[in-house]
Amino acid sequence: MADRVPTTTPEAVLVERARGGSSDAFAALVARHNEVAFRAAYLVTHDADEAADAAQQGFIRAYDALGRFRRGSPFRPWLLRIVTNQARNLRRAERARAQLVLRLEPPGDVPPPEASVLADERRRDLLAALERASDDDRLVITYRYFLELDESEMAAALDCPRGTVKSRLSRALARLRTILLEESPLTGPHR
Amino acid sequence: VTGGATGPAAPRDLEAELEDLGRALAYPPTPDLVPQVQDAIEGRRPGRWPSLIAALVDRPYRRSLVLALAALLLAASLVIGAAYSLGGLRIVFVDQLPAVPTDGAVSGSLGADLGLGESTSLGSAVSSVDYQVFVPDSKQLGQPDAVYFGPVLAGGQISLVYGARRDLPAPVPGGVSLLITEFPGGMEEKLAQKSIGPGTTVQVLEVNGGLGFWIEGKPHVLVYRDPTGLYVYESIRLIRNSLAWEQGGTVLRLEGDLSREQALALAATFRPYSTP
Repeated sequence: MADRVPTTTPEAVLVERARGGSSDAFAALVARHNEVAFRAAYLVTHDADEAADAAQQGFIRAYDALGRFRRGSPFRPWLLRIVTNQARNLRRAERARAQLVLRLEPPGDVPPPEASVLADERRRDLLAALERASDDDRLVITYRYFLELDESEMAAALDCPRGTVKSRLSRALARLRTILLEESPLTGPHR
Repeated sequence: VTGGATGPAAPRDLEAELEDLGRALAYPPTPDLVPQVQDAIEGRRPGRWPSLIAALVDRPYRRSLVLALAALLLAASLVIGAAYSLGGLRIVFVDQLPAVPTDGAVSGSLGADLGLGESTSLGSAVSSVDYQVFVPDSKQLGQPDAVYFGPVLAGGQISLVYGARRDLPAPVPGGVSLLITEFPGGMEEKLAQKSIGPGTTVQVLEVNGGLGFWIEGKPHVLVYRDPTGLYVYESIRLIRNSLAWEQGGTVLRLEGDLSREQALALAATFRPYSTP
């Protein structure tokens, strides 16, 4: 069980032990990355059950592929690459996707009603525009702004050089701006 | 963005809006995947050598190399296992070593690009580990030019890096003449696999009373059992000849352009480290 491994054990140590066949060590890695893996899958599938399946299969594939994991590299982006691919494969089997939904504003953080409605409208516009973006653009944007990966993590997750991350993100944002202008030209341009 | 009070014509910061959108997304509750994943992997070991071979060997040569590997494995197991009771020793062809990570290295220190861990002092490194650390005769080599502590391996790995010395072979690109790495473990019962490249020879020796290997030629990877009983593979860093042996519960390895005689002579000078 994951709780046999101290929570303070460095990740690199867990990876090394998992490479040696310790299921406890790998379970500890799963526990640490359970949420981000599920969310990454959900952002692709838009379906909780599919996301759970994709994340679970992604973890198992990651375990099987540990021999190819480059020692000393961060584990999270490598895992996310596997989980995302798994989620994309699952999603292809089910073309119709539900929409992502926005949560209610948390109590105490409620802006004036008019502003709140406007902000929600903008979020929905943005979400709709994102749905119209290509899979690759959506992925790079998702990694950066929703899963909050830094540049080096994105490079590992996208399996490309760091310099390429910047250009891919920049191009994805430019295309998203174009979609937004097409969708709602009266709401003003984006910087 | 949450204010939303800017007029319709005002420019909007797309990146800020995306960050805000990320915070506003409603995710379903995250299921606990640990039990299912653990059930699925229980009793299995992660893939290692087959994928490593596949990754390292060009496809046109893979089949013949795999066949050669199978023959060599059998021969090596029979010959070496019979002679030295090392049934776990196996020999694998590889064209090149896996990449060595360099994260955490301090640029500027000798050997900083070898992925040895954090640059530190010898005393500090020794105080970080529980196993006996051995050092070569300082009268011959002087103090190491750089010392690293790598926490990744169970028990920690200490590396001593020496630049050019009168008594050492010419340095490799990067300026390192000799690299000594030490980590806890045993070789006689715990060494599991050794992979070597074509044209490489392995000799089994006795070094300072313990079992040792002299590996001459191309890349190899040392695989051993760490103190927790797990298999760990350790790449050489200098792509040169190496001597590895066990001494008092510590595995030591010398790497450099040394001849076997030079390496054995140097190994004979190793003594337990004591605080000056």
